[in-house]
Amino acid sequence: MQAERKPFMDRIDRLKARVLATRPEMDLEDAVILTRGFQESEGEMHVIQKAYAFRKQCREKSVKIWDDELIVGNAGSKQRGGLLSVDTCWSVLEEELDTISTRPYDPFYLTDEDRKAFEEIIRPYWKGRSTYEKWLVQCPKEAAILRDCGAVYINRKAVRGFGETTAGYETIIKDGIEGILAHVDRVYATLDITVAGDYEKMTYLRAVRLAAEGICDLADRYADEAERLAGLTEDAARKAELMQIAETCRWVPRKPARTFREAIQGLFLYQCCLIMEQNAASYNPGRLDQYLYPFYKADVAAGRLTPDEAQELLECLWVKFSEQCLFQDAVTAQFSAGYPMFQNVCCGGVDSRGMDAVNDVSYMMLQATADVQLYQPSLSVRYNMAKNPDRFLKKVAEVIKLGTGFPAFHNDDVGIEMIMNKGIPMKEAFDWNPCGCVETNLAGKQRCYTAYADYNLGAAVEYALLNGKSRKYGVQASIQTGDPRTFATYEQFEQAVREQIMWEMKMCVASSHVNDDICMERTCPVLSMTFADCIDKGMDYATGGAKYNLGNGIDAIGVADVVNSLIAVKKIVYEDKTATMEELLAALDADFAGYDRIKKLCDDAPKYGNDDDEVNELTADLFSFLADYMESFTSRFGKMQSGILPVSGNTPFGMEVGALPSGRRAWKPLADGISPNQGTDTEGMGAVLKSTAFIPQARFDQGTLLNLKLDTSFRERPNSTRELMNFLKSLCSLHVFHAQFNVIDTETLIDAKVHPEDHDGMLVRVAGYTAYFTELGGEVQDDIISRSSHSKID
Amino acid sequence: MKKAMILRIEHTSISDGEGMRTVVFFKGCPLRCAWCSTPESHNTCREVYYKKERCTGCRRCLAVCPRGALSISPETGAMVRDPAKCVQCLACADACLYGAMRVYGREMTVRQVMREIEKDAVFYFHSGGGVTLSGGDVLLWTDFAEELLKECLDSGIDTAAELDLFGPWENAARIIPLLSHFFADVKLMDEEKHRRWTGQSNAGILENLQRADTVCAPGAIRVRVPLIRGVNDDAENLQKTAEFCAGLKNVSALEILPYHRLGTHAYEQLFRPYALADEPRMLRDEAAEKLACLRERHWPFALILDGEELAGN
Repeated sequence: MQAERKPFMDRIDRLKARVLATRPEMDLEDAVILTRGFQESEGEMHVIQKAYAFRKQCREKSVKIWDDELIVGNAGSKQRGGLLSVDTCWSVLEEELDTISTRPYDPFYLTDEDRKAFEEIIRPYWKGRSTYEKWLVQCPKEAAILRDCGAVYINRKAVRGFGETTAGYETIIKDGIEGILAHVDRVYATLDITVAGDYEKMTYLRAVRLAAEGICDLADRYADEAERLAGLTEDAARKAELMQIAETCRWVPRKPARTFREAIQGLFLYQCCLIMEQNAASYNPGRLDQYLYPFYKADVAAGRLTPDEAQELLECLWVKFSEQCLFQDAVTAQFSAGYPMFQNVCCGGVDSRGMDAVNDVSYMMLQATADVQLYQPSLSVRYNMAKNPDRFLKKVAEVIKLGTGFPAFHNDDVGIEMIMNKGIPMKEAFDWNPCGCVETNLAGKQRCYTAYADYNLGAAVEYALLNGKSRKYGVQASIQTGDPRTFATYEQFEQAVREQIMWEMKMCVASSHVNDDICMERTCPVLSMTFADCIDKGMDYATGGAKYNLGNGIDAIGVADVVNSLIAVKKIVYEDKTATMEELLAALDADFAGYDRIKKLCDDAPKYGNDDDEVNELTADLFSFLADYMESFTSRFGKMQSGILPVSGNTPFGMEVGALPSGRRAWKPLADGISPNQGTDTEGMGAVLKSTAFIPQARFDQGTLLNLKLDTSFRERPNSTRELMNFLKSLCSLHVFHAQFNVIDTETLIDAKVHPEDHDGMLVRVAGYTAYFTELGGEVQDDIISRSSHSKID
Repeated sequence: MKKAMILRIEHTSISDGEGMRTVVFFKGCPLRCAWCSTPESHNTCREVYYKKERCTGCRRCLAVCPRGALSISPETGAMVRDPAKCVQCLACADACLYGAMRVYGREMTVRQVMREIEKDAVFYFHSGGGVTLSGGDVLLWTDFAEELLKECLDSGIDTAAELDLFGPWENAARIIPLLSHFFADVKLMDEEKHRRWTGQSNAGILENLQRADTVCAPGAIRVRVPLIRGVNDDAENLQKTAEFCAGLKNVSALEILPYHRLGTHAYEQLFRPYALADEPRMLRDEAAEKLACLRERHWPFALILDGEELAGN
């Protein structure tokens, strides 16, 4: 696959080298302009203030075009900057002013100048006004106790903007800002300020106009800058490139794109604007192959563009996606380490008829990831076994084997079912796209937090064992479910665990509901302008303007830990009676020190991931029950949703949980996603896949995440590509939703931990995303190292 | 219900026949090939082995051994088992809390093994895989293997085997017709050398292979030769092997497996001497060079080196 090196790769390599060599820095320019914009517009409705301040950012922010770039744009003033959404969460930086430059997870260098701006401009204005401060006051007390003991994680959405959505990129490309404004004008003309409620709608639509002006102004400024640079350069080739950039930015995103180049540039400038509006992860460009293909096809047919030129543009876009760094607070960064912006792009799947949607651009996207090998964008594949060709699957398998962790493989039929389980018709479900990590989304239509909160299944087991007490903190963290020494049957014990889990879930739901209300005033006109229904209704995305408003996604972490703990207690205490509950509790309290016999009993109990019949049945029962329970809740927007995606949260959650009956020692990471506990799967990848299929995955409609690691020998076997294809088809037959593959051998990882300097740019799949291994914290590194290596399919 | 001593069952293997396969390893073998990489398959009984990396030196095993077969090495601090004294009572493995003393072999019924095979059905479908019986020596367990293979065929599962074809033809005759394809080892053509290096004559093996050729599925035979320096890697032996295969009508492949040392660890864990302890592994290039003598002629079967077909044949 690497056989022929295209001439344009020299440019791509230079662009890439610059990204890799650039240190992530805090970037407060946008925040300062936003603050001034709010000050200038005091008295206006929030959505107007937000739009006004955004337009001011577009007009005043630094506009930079770097050497070699063909696609331009940047949300901040620095190439690898972390933005702070001051209106949402200015104070998270306050807490870390002295440590942000050196913290273990995702440090950002903070310049003295930015620090001064923060202290003199940002803090004085925003104190008491941010969403985060409101959240800290309003967070339900019982939920806060669980949060502080590490049994739930519920702060994520208060410490950054919306994200976790798929804007209507196709609208920007096809209609342009002018098309959107025409839509705004049509709706505005029907409104009457004397009709109750219309003033609010008119205000919203005026805000959209302000934001739209800002986007066009920003594009013009890039055109100006390109012309300026063209005038300075002596290099004729570069001068021509810059003139073309200028011409492109004069046209898009203001007007409908006419070419592949314009489509790409238009979508990327809009992407920058989304991030300027609210710094957040998971603004997902989605199904690029579907909406770019018509432009590609027309350009190539007309002789305006060669396939290689198109590939080069796409790869320039890929590099641009890697520049922005996600700023988040130190705790949240532990839950998703590696500066991940989670910009998920997707290829494959089916079209609106439910038929094969693979086209030339689908292959080009896979090739772009193979060529560029940076940590963004997150490339996902929707593979539809019935409709997509084997040629596509073969390309997917070949790129997986390169070991970048991409693409994330999604079983298309399950994705469609997940969307339908949210109450959305099949025809629209055909157009789903993976979002952020492995969540399911619909471009320009769906509103919710796809991963609002996490609950800790390991902690639930601990609380069932300790009657609601946290081992680490010694406090009553949760409800009392009884002293397990008094449980006469296994069923009583399992019931206690279930009640503890339900309590965690319920507290996540409670937090979600409170957060929904707080976020009603967190308007986002830039995002919502590409949700057609927002314009139709005259209602912002935040307040429920989207076509499908759903309850937020709540994620389980520690699947294998709870299953393995339950089965171990069942065997040891109730069936084999090889130890009493009393003895087991003593052993766990001592983290097994001095209890080698009990440790062996725990280790020898059956384990999730080995396709064991009894474990499988337990898994199916428990996770059907959890899906039922989550579906019993409804928010002001819709039915609450479940997911099982840890990002990297299994590590910090693990640090809050003592030893478990599964044999896992205290404070170690929990299992990630639906993967087995580290080192307990002994029967190969097939058995892992079979085991996970006992979770009713389609009902966890915000996605389920499976990490599989293949060792490097996997790449060398002559039949390995074909067998990997067969394996992926088997995955689809089993109705498993997702799998992602790490293909780096353990020795390399260990060496990279010790000698990071020798492994710059080495990518690993963390969980739902790819990051530079050397930029991850030590515990996450250890977790990745210890995920057992599968070499069977070699 | 029939029972057999199963060494292990491997799932989703791609190196043991067509597609992804479940490989059932039987325990027990009448041959003692000097280069054998699975010494744990030699004996039909359950037996103990030792993983010293896991040993804490707690001496629980020493305390329970009824024969005094265990001791601690004063030099290394590791446990040492004297095979001459050990009667494989497995008390030490029961006593070990750290997974250092472990046991090879599990007695299983046809139903139990069948359950393990059925679990992998979804992988057989897409890959064209199925079950592969391996050893040890499958034919030591002919009754069991026959019943298991029939059950597989009843369930529409493809069947293959790795056979040494030692022993009476009657055993092989019951198994071969049940297989879609099988691997047959032809280790050495010279009988005297075969006896020296494997402990048994090859006369019966070669005869069984000729008879198998008359009752097997078309093209079912894949002959395997483990290539060992100074044992069977001479041109004469290789040519004779190829000619022998060419004389059979159902040999579809002659597969050469260069000597590897992945089994050395197993000998140490069993406290058993390894005849080729000092023999370095054979790299692919060296093996390819030795096979040059076979590439002058066109053979009616594929010539495969380490999983890859040799070009120009």
